[in-house]
Parts: sequence; C-alpha cells; structure tokens
Amino acid sequence: MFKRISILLVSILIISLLIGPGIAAKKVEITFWNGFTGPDGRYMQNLVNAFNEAYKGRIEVKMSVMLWGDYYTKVVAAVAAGNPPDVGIMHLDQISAYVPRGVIIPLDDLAAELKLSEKDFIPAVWKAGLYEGKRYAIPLDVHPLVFYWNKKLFREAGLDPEKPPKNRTEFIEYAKKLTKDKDGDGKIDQWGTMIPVGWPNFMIWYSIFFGNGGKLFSDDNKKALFNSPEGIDALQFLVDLVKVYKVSPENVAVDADVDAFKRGTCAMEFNGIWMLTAYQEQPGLEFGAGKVPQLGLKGLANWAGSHNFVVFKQRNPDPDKLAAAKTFIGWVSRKSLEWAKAGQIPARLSVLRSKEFKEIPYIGKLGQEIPPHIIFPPLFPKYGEATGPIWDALNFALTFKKDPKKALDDAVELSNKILVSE
Amino acid sequence: MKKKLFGDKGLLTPYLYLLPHAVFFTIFAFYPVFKGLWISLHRWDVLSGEKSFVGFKNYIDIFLRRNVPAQYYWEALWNTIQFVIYSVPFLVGIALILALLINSVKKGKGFFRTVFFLPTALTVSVVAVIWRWIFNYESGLLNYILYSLFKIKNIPWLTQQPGAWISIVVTTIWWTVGWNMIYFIIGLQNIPEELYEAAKIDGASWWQTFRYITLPSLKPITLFIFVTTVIASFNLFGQSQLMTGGGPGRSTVTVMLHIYNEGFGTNLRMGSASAMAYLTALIMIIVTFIQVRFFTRSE
Repeated sequence: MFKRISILLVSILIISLLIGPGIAAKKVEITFWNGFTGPDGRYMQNLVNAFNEAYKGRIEVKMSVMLWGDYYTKVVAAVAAGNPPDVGIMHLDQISAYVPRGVIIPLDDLAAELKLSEKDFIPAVWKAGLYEGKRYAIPLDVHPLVFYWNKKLFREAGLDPEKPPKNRTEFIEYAKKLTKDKDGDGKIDQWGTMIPVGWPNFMIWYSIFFGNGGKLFSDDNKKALFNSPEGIDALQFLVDLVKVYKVSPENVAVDADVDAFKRGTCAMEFNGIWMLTAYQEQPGLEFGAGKVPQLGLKGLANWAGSHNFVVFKQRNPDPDKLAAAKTFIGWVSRKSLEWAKAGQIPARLSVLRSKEFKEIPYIGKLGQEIPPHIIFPPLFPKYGEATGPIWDALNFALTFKKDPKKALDDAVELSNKILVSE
Repeated sequence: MKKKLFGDKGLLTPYLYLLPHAVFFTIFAFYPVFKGLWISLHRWDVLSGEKSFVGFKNYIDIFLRRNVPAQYYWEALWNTIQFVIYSVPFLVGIALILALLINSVKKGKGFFRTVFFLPTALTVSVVAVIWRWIFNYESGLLNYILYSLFKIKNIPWLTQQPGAWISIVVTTIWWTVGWNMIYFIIGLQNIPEELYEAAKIDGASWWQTFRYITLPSLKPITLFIFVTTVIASFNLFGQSQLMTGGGPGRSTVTVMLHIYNEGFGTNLRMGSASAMAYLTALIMIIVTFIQVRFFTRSE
C-alpha cells in the first residue's frame, strides 16, 4: 500500500515537474520602449496594464519610458549590442533611416491580420508607413502643429474669440491689434505672436513653405530646392513679423513662447499638439486651438509628425515573441480612442469620426479640421541630416545674422553636399 | 633559498594587488581606446553593423574638409577653444579667491565650503533649466533686475553673441567652481604654518606672503587644476545642448556635441565620429603637454 502511494506521489511530482515549467514557459515576455515621458506616458502605461490584465499568464509587456532625446540613442546602442527591444515607437521621419539598415521588420502580415486598410486611415499617415512598397510601421497617432490663441486677449482687443485669423492678411491685422503696451511705459508687454529662433520654428516655416506650394527636395532626393521663391517668402514672412510688423519680440528663445502664452503675454502661438495638456492645466488660461492659419499664398498646409509602432529585428528571432508583439500592437491599435485622450489625434478614420472622439475637448475638434491639410515630409534615409541646415538657416535669419535669401542659399549648398555624399 | 610565489614577500604578491584594477582598466579603458581607434579606420554604420576598412580616409576627409560634418568639425573645434579661453581663467581664478576667503574666515568654514560646493551635486539638466530661466530674454530674472535697477533694456542673453557664451560661462562657473575650490583649500591647508610664521617675523606684507609663499606652494595643485579644468571645458556638452541649442547659428556647437550627433544623432557614422574624437584627444594631449612644460619650466 505504502509503496503504491509513494509511486503515485513520485509520478505526480515528476509529471508536475515536467509540465510545470512547460506552462510557465508559455508566458511570453516582450519589451516595449518609447519616449512618452509627458502626461501621455500615464495613458500608455494604463493601456499596457490593461493589456497585461487581458492576456494574464500568456503575454506580459514590459514598458520602458525614456526621454525622446535619449530614446533614439538607446535604441541605436541596443541594436548595435544585438539586444534591441521587441516593440518600439518611432517617429515617421526616423523610419526611413532605420528600414534600409535592416533594423526593423516589415509588418505587412500584421496589417493584413488586423484588417488595416487604407480606407480606415488618414491617407497621408497610411502612405508614410510604406517604404519601397512594404509596410514597416503601424500608425498610432498624428501630432500636428497647432495654432493656439488666447480668447480673453481676443475679446479685450475687440476681436471675436471664436474666429481665429484665417489667412496671412488677417493674421497680421489681428497680431497688430493684439500687440500692446498696457502700462504705457514705452515697453510692449503683450505680443501678438512669438516666433522663436529655434524649435519649433521649422514646423511653422514648413507649413508656410508647403502652403506656398514649395518642394524641399528633387524627386530623386539628390538636390535641395528650398531656396526657391516659396521658401524665401516663407522665411521672409517670419522675419517680417519680428522686424517689419513688430508683432513678435526679437530673440524669442526656445519655449519662451510657451511661457508667455501661459502667462497671457503672447496672444497667438504655434506649437505642437503635445502642449495642449499643459495649456489646459494652466489656471485662468482661456484659449482656443485650431489648424494653422493659411499663411502660405496658395493653400493650407499643416506640419505634422506621427508615432508609429515598429518591431525590431532580433539576432535570434523567437516566433513566440514576434507573435506576442503583433498581438500587442494590434490590441493597442484598436484602442486608439483611449490613446486620443492622452492628447494625440488618432490615425484611424473610424475613431476620428466616432461620436466619443468628437466629444473629447479640443482634440475632438482638432481631429476634424487638421488631418485634411497634413503634409508629411518626403521620406528617405538622409532626410534628418539634409534638413539640418534649414534649422540653422532659420536661426541665422531670425537673429538677423543673414537675410532670408542668403540664409537659405547657404543651407541649400550644405544640404546638396550632404545629399550627394556617401 | 627558494623564492616564494605567494605570501608577504612572494614574487606574485604585488601583481596580485594590481590585478583587480588591471582587469577593470583593461575592460573599460584600454580595450575601448584601441577599439575606438580601430573603428576610426572604418566606415562603420552602428545600426546595420556594416563596416568596411577605409584606412585613414576618415582623418583625411576631416583635414581636407571634404564633407559637411568635417566642415562643422573645425567650426565646433574653434567654438570649443573659445569656450576654454573664456572659462578656464575664471574657473581657476574664482576658485582660488573663494578658497583664500574660506581659508581666512575664523568661523563657518564648513558652512561656506558646503554652500559653494553644493551646485556640483546637481545634474546638468537641472542647472541648465535654472539658468535658462534666469537668462530668459522677455521674463528672465536677470533682465528684470537690470531693467528695474538701471533701466537697461532687455539683453538677448541666450540668442545672440556674446550673450550666449557669457551665459554658458557663468552657468559653468556656478556649477563646477566648487571642485576647484576644494582642491585649492586642500592645497592651502598643506602649506606648513612655519613658513607663514617665518614670513611674519621677517615683516612680510600680505601681498609678499601671498606672492612668495602661498602661490609657489600651490604650484603642484594649480597644475593639476589647470589640466583637469581645460579638459573639462573641452568636454562642454550639456550646457550648449540645453541652454542655447548650439545657437545662435551653430556658434555654441561644441566638439563633443558635434561628435555625438555624428555618431549617435541623425548621422550614425561611427567611423568618422571616432576619427573626430581621436583628433580631439590628440589636441588635448598636446595642450596638456604644453601646460605641464609651462608649469615645470623654472624647476
């Protein structure tokens, strides 16, 4: 009797030892890196937690958040060390630098599996994730340049707070009315707008430039074309706001415009949609947010970037992890309404048009009026390096070191050298 | 008598003591130095891992300014040298003055030492944010004070030269002068009291005491401070990155900032980035050599 029981116990023990690790091993752990360090990080963490709960015992996503500036450095280091994360977030204009280097893998099968179709996406966003006919990125959101205006200051200047300026003439007219010396000490203490000498002036110039019908590079991406009349006009306009119309102070440092808008000493401001939460949290700030006015001469163009999911190529690919990564991306992609609440415009039209989305303050409205005007940059590996000289040109012109034409001519010369170098 | 290998007088004993340091030194200093040199002789793409041997091409490209990053390198080098010239005299001089003052007070030595040393405990991002606020053009504390006291119109500290260099130099002094001050205090405390007593008996003035006793006695530590400060100033990175963004018009883009962008930023060209790093290291070695010669000349 005793012998039988012990045989039974031993066999149970052996069987459980054999099966146990088998069951435990079925749980797949994947790593997910991103740079959502702002309020958006909380929303992403909530999504990840909800996913881990839904797939408890099967998949666990471990999310690491770092500043965007560090993020790409860390990704580069991790890839070079042969230990990249499984899933990452990548900005649209970075994808083209990573694809030709074989660092991220095509996701056509995932797109098919998720039944992602062109019809369900903002067209510009959909096309941007394609590289040489293959899809490498699953779009998560769009983050455009947004035009912010202070409604209280509009009322004080006798302007309709619900009607932001629509074009260049109106913009100048409004800006002049909003530039004031309130205490009469000869020093202007409320500005119509603020054009910074650095970030994000490139996005403002870009919107005007494309609104003028400009083109950054030739079709084969071998020649820079931005010193065209369209480019010079766009930059001249920004400089004139400071120099001729005097509706923006000189020497606006990076983020000084943000501080001024929060304090109510800058009436109209251009910045990313990512500033929205900060402005909403600012006590006493009554503001409107909308698409960028048509400052270009031909049409309306609105700069935007986009966050995309990518899957990194591993040295030793593990099919379980790959499957888990795809499950995770698909799951979050379907939850893009939740993500929209973090302050981003979802890339999916079905979400954009849904009633729940339209009801989100500010974002709901921005999601309707901006997407038709988005123009993404041409995507090729040297895009980042070749646009670097434009940033410098804007700085030279807005600090009055060079006139706009000279600044852009010099930048084109540098950019051309970069484009033809190996 | 047969010599022992181990034990107090063993042949291997001194080497065993050296071993732990040697291991870490090899892994973290010796190996990377040569690996970096090896990388600088290649076209090396970090992301794809592709590399091809190109000999000294990266160095030749830099010297002949064959491409845009090479052009930027020489600009950045000149910017960095300017910063070294502007910052080092203050970083050493102010540290010496602070050390002398603290050394001369009767009470509260520890307190003042702590106060001036405290900023070094902060990270560069915190320091840069604080000073960016102070130097802000429209609403900065400094411009506010200048206007309310002297009616001086707003000065664009961060967006025009020479304001940008002044801001970065002032910030760097505030942040790091504590280190040099501590070294000087240690140096001052090591000067034998008898020398001062002898000088007093001989009726030496304060200046004579300082000139003929304090300064010569501080010579070894001053050499050390000069060398480390020049090297630290050559490595300027965070203050430019965070306060001026390299502006106005690339004038505060430093060598380290440029090398970082070339290797890890948008360009991802590890080979030429390494070549730039080696060239800079060579320049720093020469500068250090000159400093050592200068200080040891009279002996």
